[in-house]
Amino acid sequence: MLINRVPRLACRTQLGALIAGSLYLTLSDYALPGLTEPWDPAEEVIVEPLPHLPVIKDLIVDMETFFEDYRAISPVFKPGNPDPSKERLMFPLVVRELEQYTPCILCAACYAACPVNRKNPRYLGPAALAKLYRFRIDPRENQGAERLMTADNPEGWWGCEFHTNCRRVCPKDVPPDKAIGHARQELSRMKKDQNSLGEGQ
Amino acid sequence: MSQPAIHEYDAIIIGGGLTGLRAALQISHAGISCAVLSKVHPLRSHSVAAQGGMNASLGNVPGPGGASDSWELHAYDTVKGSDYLADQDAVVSMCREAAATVFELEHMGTVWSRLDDGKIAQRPFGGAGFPRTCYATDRTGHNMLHTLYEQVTNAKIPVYEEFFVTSLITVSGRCTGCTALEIMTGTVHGFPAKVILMATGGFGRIFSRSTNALINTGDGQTLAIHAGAPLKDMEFVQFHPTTLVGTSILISEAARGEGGILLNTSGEQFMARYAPRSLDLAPRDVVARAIEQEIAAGRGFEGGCVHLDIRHLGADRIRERLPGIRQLAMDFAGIDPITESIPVQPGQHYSMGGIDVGIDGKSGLPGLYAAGECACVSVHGANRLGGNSLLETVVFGRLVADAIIRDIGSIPPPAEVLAEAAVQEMNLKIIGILGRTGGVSLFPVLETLKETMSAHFGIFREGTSMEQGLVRIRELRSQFGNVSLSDKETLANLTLIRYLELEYMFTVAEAVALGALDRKESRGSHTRTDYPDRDDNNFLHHSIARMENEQITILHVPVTLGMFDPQERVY
Repeated sequence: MLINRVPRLACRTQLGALIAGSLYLTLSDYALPGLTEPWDPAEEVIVEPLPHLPVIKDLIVDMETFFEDYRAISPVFKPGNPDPSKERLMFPLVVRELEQYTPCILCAACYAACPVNRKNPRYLGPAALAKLYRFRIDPRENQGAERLMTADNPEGWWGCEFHTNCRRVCPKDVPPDKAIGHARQELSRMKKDQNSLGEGQ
Repeated sequence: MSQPAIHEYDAIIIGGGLTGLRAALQISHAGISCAVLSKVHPLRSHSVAAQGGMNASLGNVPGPGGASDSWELHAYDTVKGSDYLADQDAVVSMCREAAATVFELEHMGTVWSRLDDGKIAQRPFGGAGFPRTCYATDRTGHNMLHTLYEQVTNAKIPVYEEFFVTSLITVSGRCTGCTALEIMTGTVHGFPAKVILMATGGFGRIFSRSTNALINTGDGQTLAIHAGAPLKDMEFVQFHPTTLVGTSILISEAARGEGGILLNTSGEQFMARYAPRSLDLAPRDVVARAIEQEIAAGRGFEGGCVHLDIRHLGADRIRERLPGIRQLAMDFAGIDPITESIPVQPGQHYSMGGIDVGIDGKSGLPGLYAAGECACVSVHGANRLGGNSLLETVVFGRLVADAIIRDIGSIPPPAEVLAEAAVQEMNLKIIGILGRTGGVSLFPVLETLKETMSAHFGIFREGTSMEQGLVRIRELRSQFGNVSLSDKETLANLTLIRYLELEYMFTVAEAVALGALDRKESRGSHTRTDYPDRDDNNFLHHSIARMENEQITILHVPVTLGMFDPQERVY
């Protein structure tokens, strides 16, 4: 473990297994998990806290703005119908699709690696958008494209420039860029349908 | 020194894991003011690391011969797994509530793995007669915790993140609040409250090889016993059979539930000799002992381990059902379980003992409640079954919250002035710690304590060795009095947090040691080479650890039996 070898360097560590997502940092200007990277002690490396977030001390950053973006997308399950007495049925194929997004540990590595976040602090960022898409494709919600409207603006889906850094740095292989692409297609289709409906009247 | 920061709520929940968040939701929905205090962001709580699943007799997958599951059968497996030390009324409560609790989480949005018919999938687990463990691939705790955090966020329940609880406030034999250090600023805050719910998890980090998060240091147990609430069955510590060699990272029991087998250097499936019927899916205490015995007999691999082989499951099934453990094996051992066996060894995993509470979560100190791993109801007795821990967190998070909702109307509001005094007292203590110079450094003391616990209170225990271990714990504790910290800052001083945690760990370590010495029998996870048999005549009781004048003494209280009479435990 790289970080544990550095005495008196304040950082958050909880599990040490890339499960809880508390420790991320940058090495050579690239967001990386702080625990698995092999390190030759003879080699000099530059270790820095995650960018775009205020530093509290050493490698500890204030995650508040990241979680503000998370809260902005209303990250809570909104069932489409009253609770049944048992479980709502879901089919394995749909679950497999959803499980691309549920592994997110909200570690903010994608947020830190995103060039759009760097340019525009108001951009929701990859993690929040991937979370929003996770609720959109949950068949138990049944809200349709309405769910996507929360981020139908330049600070949301339309801010992404598809650098795909988010997918590359994600320790859990979540593909926010894919979610963003699908959401844009769906919104475009919806608007096109609305327009043609409007023209027909 | 500035004016103390005082925040008054009716109920304070200490701990932001599954138990704490479930309880907070319930209490908040009842219109009672409450807040969660957590020493880490709630999503970094150790609950997030639970892999395998949550037991409930949904009966979605038929059992052997097409038989159907029931909560009674779940209760039987749990009681047998506990080596008959669990309180059967508590087990009945938990198992009856299990199915409704899984559905409740599903209704809140948890994504569970599914069967082809769309129902929640269930897999076999150790010590269970049915495929009863509901799961979300191999990150069940993660999916559950994110769901509950989403609900808590939506309910706008205040969460004091990275607040480390430093003391409980008591007056006239009642708990009336707590103090907590805001880690990032160094400010001590006071939280006067009518009730405190402790939901702080286990104490695995007092051992050197543990699957637990670094944060699991027994804070809640120590705060409770110092405030006057006894602990129970602290000697029962679970060692998980399969942790990754080198890092002690958990390799879920789900790997064996899906069909994985354990092999020694001869390539033998050795569990056939230890548990002829259940084989690799015997309970954890049985499998952990078997692995240790294989290694001791010279049939282990280099580094003191055996192999867990899941290759025969095939790449597709491994990718679908066990993606997380595959990733962990690749990241931390450089091994792809699709093509190679995983080197595993037992490591500390769970604390069966904890704050002595009844089914309603009431501790021995009025005003203090506890639930989840930090508590001991007891539903796990001398050995917990895999999949029963996640179940316990959410079931008792809700049941204890209901008890608090019932009780809170009759409790008078706490006096704010007491909280202010407690804050001042804690400030002085911290100034004293930071002001100390010279002396010994913290980390060697911490490491030696962990090594002592693993060497003397591990899987196999023996009287003389444990006596030596207890002496060593006490020596280390006196050395601890001379520890001074290199970091003197108040802002984000994580060394100070490690110091305060170590102070807590000594109390827990001593409670484990005294309980283990007192129990002259072998039962469940507690295996004594000098007393190899279970002794129901003398030890079918709970061990209660009480503190008076800083001294811990052990008393005995009877086990609540009921549906199932104690029998010989064979698998």
